[in-house]
Amino acid sequence: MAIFKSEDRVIVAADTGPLLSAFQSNTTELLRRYFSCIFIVQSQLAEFQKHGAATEIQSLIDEGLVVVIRNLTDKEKAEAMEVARRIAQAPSCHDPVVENHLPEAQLIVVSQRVEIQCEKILLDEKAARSVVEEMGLKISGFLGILANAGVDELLTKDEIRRILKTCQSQGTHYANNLIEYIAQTYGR
Amino acid sequence: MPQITPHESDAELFTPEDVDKDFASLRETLLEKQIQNFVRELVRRSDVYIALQKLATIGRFANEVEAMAHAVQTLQFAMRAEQKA
Repeated sequence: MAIFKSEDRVIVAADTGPLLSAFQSNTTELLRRYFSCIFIVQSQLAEFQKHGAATEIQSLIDEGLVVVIRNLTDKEKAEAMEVARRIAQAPSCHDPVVENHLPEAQLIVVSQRVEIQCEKILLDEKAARSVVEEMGLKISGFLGILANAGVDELLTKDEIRRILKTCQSQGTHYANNLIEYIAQTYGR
Repeated sequence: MPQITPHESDAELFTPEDVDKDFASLRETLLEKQIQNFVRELVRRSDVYIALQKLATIGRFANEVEAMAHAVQTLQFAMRAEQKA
């Protein structure tokens, strides 16, 4: 087990999904444990509102953990449109409407800004993940955070089960055997 | 409290391999950051930095990194011997 100090926390850009899972399961403490700053883009705020987590995201913004990138350059907007098109066309994508993928596409593009020093993209959407991997960028997701917390002895097997069952009960369709695999493999 | 609805409709597609990759990816970044901070802290100490430079110029080691690696291994060996004694 590695003992990570607060200065070892990393800077990430997070899509809406991993943060919603943390809100659903009341595990935002793990975000504070591993990340010094979480960047999101403005268009994600509407997604948090739509999914019932406007208060929760605002609380993390007020705290300073989450930082909203509000302005994209014209070049970034054009690049984001292209990334959104690729996500919409990915074989695993269920939604062919390009505009619906703009928030995650914009996040992927702005995460490449040199000045924000983003070290990882947190992304749980399969189609977007496949595009990001093709682009050669480093990704992880909510399940990766839980797995690390288990290995760092912050979560027991039962706690991992409880967290993922809570997400499941709120509509995130993790398979039962996947939940068991994560609990058994990574739980304390 | 109103329920927070999920963003991902395809969570059922996640496999153990995806989780293993996500774990390793984040782990690697955390460890890299930890090592960067450790090295930064170490070379900030001028006595350590000067000693490393001197060791590197003797010609016994290829560079400061090799000298440091050898020093750590020697320390580990010495501590094991001390524990046995």
